[in-house]
Formats: sequence, C-alpha cells, structure tokens
Amino acid sequence: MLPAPLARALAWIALASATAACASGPANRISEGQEGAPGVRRVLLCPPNLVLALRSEIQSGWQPVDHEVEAYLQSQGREVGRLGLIEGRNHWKQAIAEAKAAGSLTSASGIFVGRLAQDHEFDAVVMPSLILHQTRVESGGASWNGVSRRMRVVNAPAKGVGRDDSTFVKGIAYGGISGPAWVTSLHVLVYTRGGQLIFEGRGGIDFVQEADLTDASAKYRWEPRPNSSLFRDRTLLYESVVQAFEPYLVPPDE
Amino acid sequence: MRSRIAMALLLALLAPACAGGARIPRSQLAGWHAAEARGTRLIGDLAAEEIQRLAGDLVRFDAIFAKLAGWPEAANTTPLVICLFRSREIAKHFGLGRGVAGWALGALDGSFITVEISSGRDEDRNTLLHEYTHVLLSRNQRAPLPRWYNEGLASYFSTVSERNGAVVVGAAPGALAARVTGRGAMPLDRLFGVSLVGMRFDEVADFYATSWALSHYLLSSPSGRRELSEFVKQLARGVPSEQAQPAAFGRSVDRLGEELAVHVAHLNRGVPIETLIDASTFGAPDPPPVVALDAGEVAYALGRLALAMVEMDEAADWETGPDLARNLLTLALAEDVPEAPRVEAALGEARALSGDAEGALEAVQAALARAPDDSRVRLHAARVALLRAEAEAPSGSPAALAEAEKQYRHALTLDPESASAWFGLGQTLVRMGRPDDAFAALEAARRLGWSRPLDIALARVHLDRGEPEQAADLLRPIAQDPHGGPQQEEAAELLEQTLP
Repeated sequence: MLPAPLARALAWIALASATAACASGPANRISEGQEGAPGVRRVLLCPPNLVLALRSEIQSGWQPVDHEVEAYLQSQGREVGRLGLIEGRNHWKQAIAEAKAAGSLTSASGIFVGRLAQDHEFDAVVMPSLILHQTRVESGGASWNGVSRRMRVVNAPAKGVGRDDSTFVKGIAYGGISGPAWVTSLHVLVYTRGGQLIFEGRGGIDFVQEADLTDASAKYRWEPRPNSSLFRDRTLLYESVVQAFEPYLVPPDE
Repeated sequence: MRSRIAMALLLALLAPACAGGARIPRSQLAGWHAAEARGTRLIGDLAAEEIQRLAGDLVRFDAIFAKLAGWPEAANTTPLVICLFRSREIAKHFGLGRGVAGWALGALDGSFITVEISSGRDEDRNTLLHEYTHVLLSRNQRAPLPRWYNEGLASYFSTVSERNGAVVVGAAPGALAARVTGRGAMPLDRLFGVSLVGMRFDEVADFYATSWALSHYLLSSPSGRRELSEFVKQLARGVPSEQAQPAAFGRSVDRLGEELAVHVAHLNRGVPIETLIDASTFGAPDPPPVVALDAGEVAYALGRLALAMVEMDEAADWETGPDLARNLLTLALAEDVPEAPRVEAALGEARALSGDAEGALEAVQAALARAPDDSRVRLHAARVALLRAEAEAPSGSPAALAEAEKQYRHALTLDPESASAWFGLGQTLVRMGRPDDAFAALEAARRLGWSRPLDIALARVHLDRGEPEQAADLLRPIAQDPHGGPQQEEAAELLEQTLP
C-alpha cells in the first residue's frame, strides 16, 4: 500500500522538517564581460540534470523544459549541439575520478568540459537542471527565482455569499493559502570551452502542487494535489528560461 | 428541539449508506476503457490514450525489471487486474483517498491493483509502478517478505523512467530524501522489527522514507545487492531478524545506519546516485490495444475486486464489502454481459458472504446450468458450498462439504493449474477429517502459488500427521513477521505446539 507520497500528505509533513532546500537561490551570477555571450556561436547543450539528480516528482518535466531551452538558444542565434545522457554521465564520472585522484574535486567540471572538447565542437557548454525546492506561499502567491506565481485552487465552491460555505473555505478559495510549498525552477550553468564557469542562473517555473478544496466545506481542510498544469504552459516555461539565462543571454524585446 | 433536528439530519445523511449497502450508480460506469498486455488488464474511467500510455509504461517496466532482477520476462502466470479510478467517489469505495494513493492485493488465483488517478502524471505513474513492483515481488514469493523490504523496493522501482535515450533507475523522490534528512532515518533495529499496526501517521511516513533510503543504499552497489538478497533469504528460512542482520550485512546495525546517513546526505545534496541503461536495449513494443467497456463489464470487474477484498480479509474494517460486491454483480447481471454465468456465480458467492444462503444457492445453480464446464463458475460454486458447510455446523455439514469437494474436483478437471482450487479442496478435506488427502491437495496448491493462509493450513495438516518439524518450517517465517496481524498470531500459537 502506498500512502500518497510527496505530492500529497507526506510531503507537507516533510516540509516543516526539511533542511536542504532553500526558498530561492542567489541572484544569477555572471563573469565580467560575458553579458550577451560574446563570441559564442556554437553551444553544446547537455541533457537536463546531467550532474544534479532529477527528483521523481518532476520527472516528466525534462522534455518540455529541454525543448524550451534548445528553442531559446536557437532563437538567440546560437547553433546547438547535443550531448547524450549516458555519454555525458560517463564523462562526468571519469572527470570526478580524475579530480579525486588529483586531490582537487573542484577541478572536476573543468576536466569534464575538457573531455567534451575532445569530441565536440563548441564555444560554450550549457548544463540545465530542473530542481525541486521549497518556498513560502503567502495568500496563495509566491515569488522565487525571478518569477511570481499563484497557486492554483481547484474544486472551490462557487463564489458568492452562500450561507453553506464556511469562512475557512471562502478564505482559501478567494484569499489563497499561506505556508511552505514545493516549487520547481530551472537551474543553468554555462562553461567556456576552457572549462571556466562563467554563468549560473535560475528561473522559477511553477508550484508543484495545487490546492484542492473538495473536502474543505465538510472537513475544514484542503488537500494538496499534483499541479495538473505543471510543465504544460509554454508561457511559464518560456518566462523561466528567459529568467534563467539573464543576463548571459539578452532577453528579446517584448 | 435542536437535538431532534440534528438527529433527523443525521439519520437522513446515514440513510443512503445503509439502504442496500454501498452502491456505485450505473452512470459512473460509463466511459471506461481497458487495455490488456501479457496477462495484465488495466481498466479505468480514463480516456483511451491515458490507459494506453499507462499500459505501455507497464510493458516497458516489465522488461526493465526483469533485466534488473535477473528474472525471466514471462507472461503472468496468474491474471492481474489493475483498476484506475479518476472518480474520487468510486476510489473511496475501494479504500483509496485519505492518504492512500494505491494498494496491491495478491490472491492465489489472481492479483489486483488499485490506483487513484490524480492530476499529476508523475505521481500516478510512480504509484502504479510502486504497486506493480509489489505484485512482481510476490510472484517469486514463498515466504512473507519483510515489510520494509517490500515497501522499500517498491518505492525504489516506482521512479524508473526514461529520458534522453536512457532508462534511469534510482531517481530519488525529493520528499522522501527531505524527510529522511530532516528527521533522520528511523533506527534500523526499529525498522526491521517494528509493526505498523497502530503506528502514528508521521511514524508510518518515517518508516516508508527509511525503507526507501535503505533499499536505495543497498541497491546502489553490487555488494549491497548481495547483502540485501542474503538478508531476505535468511528471513525466508525462518531465521530471526536479529540473527539474519549480522549474518547478511557482516556489520552491526549501528554501522549500517551510519553508512545510510552518509548516503542520504549525498542524495539530499542532489548527487545523482542512479543507474543508467541504454533504452534501445529494451526494444520498442507496440502499445497495447485499447477497448471501450460497457457498464456491465465495468460492474463485473469492480464486483470481482470487491469480492476479492472480502475473501482476502482486506475488508475487515470495511463493512460494506460484501454489499458492494453484491450490488455491482447484480448490476452487471442486469446488463446482459457476455460472461453472465461467471457473474451469476460470483454473485452467489457475494450473497453467501453476506449471509444470504438461499440466494447464493439459487445463483450458483443457475450459473452451473448455463456453464457447467466453466472452471471459474465451478470455483465459485465450491466456495459457496464450503461457506454453507461452515455456516451450518461448527465442523462443517457433511452434505455441504461433499458438494464443495465435488465442485472443487470438477474445477480442477477443467483447470488443473488452479492453486486456488487446490487450496479450497485441501481446506474442504481438512474439515472432512481426511488429513492425508488434504495434505496432497495443499501441497499441489503450494507448488503453484503461495499465501500465508495456505502455509498455515499446510502446517496444521503436518501437525495432525505428527510432523512438527515440517510444520515449524512453514510457520516460523510467518510467526516472526514483526508486523503482526491475525495470521502472524495464529502462526505463533501453532508454532508453540510444534515445540517438544
């Protein structure tokens, strides 16, 4: 028997005690003179979550996010080459082993890019990852990693001054909920052909859950359920990608 | 005045639930689809493409699991029916909701899985694969599996997915990683020995999270996989858990716990401790065909599920079980389904279980007249006779027992591989005071399948035949199951009788 996992009750208990996640990452960081990716014509795009675990709760997001990142790089006039997951993971493991042997784990990414340079033509390596973390939602909304979102509320009672609806239900339905919430973001690393990290950025995507008010009238509680529109709204994905690459890539004029 | 109004309101609210037992309206049985592949049938109130996608996921998972477990990828020996419910109302009838996303039920003549379909594609898939892993593990089972092992492996395999041309095994659920990091792993001696009965919800959540984390740790290396396999083998032989641990792991539980903490810290930092397999090695099977179901077919499938829950004592705290089965099967019969005799026979059994002996007899006689050579009809008829025998006399009425034996034997001439029929025949012969014949029937059942009640019944026969050692071998793994339950208690009591 499976008690409904993250997406349900267990996850919300976990929130209170989780320590690893942070509400929002640091602002995007870029090396001096790299704004606009000068001189970068060919980009080697790594598969999502090559070196960072993809959490099972957001597994299905890899493909739409991958497509959106590739499309954005192309729209920026860059030629995009691809790296396979198995090939990339093998190179990464070997780079880690070499770095360990050399007594300097921090050199692993440089070794990794150097290994890629032996087989691939590129001016920069882009490593995107989908990450799962927590943030604080206030009155149904939250801002993280450059975006603002409202948590979807489903099965809410009809609006209006109905005598049957409790203050609790109306409060959630119209005012939104407050508390910790799981969200997902796109995280991006960019390396030069020489293996130097020149950019790290994040762009928020969406809430992982939505608030279901089916039982709210009877039981004075709402239930977190998986967000049915997660990764399905291309507008949100595009906004996330643009945010994650700024200012390495200059956003197009609106 | 106020209390009278409240009482009237309460009675009005209770009335629909009490009148005729639990019911699912016919209107909710429209728009269902089914897909079938390799002995597994998925049905659900889902769109055709959703069912097909999930059926395709299972076919793919079969091949991946077989490769990882080193088991042959064979068609199911016993049928598996997977019921997927988008309607929360229907799901509630089958014990889903309120914190339960899915469950699996294994019986000798078939298994069932139920999953409440939510709004999230990842969660639904993970829940389905979790329950499916339970069923796959049970297929090779000949003794109780430790609960932490069963749940830990199911959680581990539930996240198997494909991306960028690779099958990814071992992806970590963020919530479990966060939980086991934030609260710390449950102490392993407690994990190995604890009973979930009466446990608080947050402790159950800790149990699941630690079970997953330990399984993830052990499965992430060849040595860990060997240790895990050895531990389970020892328990299956009836070795007590506290002796099996050092023998299998070669170090103290405390030491293992320290290693687990390091592993969990890595997972929580996002280190991808995963196995990647080239997806092209698994081929690309065609997606299973999907058919639309009519209301009668759905009612029959759900009626069988409700009946199985009652038979397996899964409905111990589920008072409406026999009524729900009876109502669904009655509805199916009214719809003129192609399998009408089987529906009628199943209805007979549901009636017998709800105490309607006359109605039960009437239904099975009608079914037998229409399909005398249908093994499933015979099996239902035999069970009805056995239930009647038990109801009529403490040791079973001779006439009803003779009828049960006749029906079981007839069922076996039609399907000699039915573990369920052999088991039923064995139970009947025990009641008839023929331990040697009962022993042969129960042994035949055990060659074809396994269940706790079967091993307990066989152990009783061994005791009757003066073979306490053989009885003890069967009882010890069940009696030592730390998770308790009536079968564990029964096995423990019988085990004492085997002592000199």
